[in-house]
Amino acid sequence: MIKTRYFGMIAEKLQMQEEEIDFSALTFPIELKAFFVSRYPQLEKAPFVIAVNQVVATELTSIEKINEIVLLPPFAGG
Amino acid sequence: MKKIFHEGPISPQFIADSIAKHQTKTSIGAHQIFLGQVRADEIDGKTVSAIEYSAHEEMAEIAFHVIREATFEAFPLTCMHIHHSLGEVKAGEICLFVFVSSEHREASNKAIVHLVEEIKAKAPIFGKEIFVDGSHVWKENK
Repeated sequence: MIKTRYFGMIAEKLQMQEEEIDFSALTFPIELKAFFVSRYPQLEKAPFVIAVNQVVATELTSIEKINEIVLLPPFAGG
Repeated sequence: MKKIFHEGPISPQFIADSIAKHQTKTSIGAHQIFLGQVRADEIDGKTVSAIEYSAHEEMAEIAFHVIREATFEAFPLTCMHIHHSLGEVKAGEICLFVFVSSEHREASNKAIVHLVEEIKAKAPIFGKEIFVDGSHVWKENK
């Protein structure tokens, strides 16, 4: 199980801040954006990037040493 | 790593105190300050009354650290301070305070522009623009 966190507009669309996802039964590599859009169709048109262990990533090649996956909507600081 | 985030708006008094603290650092000849203020934007006929900020705080702290180090590399600065709000900041209040100092004006003039652009582009901070009627939209940096 991997802790998956949602932020801003994404958290609002999914009505949750985080969950645990079991990736172990899937075939690697996993294309992350496609995975999340298929799991949550309401994200299809939503703009977001994904970070794995705090680094922006498009694929998940294994679940070893993965502590956190996050979905980040467009930045709006300042 | 330096603490960046403040709950709620950054007070003018905090900014004044920060300036005062630099009066003992007499090698400094130039300061530059950028203050981001929440604008009462009108969107589809509705007026923004506040922005509620949230962030991936750990990732943002790392982003700020990287931006900070790269800016010190690029410009001969004496010191640099970055403060950003989390939570609700009302229209007219300060949400971002960037303060750089150098011996001569050129370094701080250039560094402040660079820093603000980097912060807006690279820090995972999210903003919910709340309208007077309670509805909201999500802000996106251009």
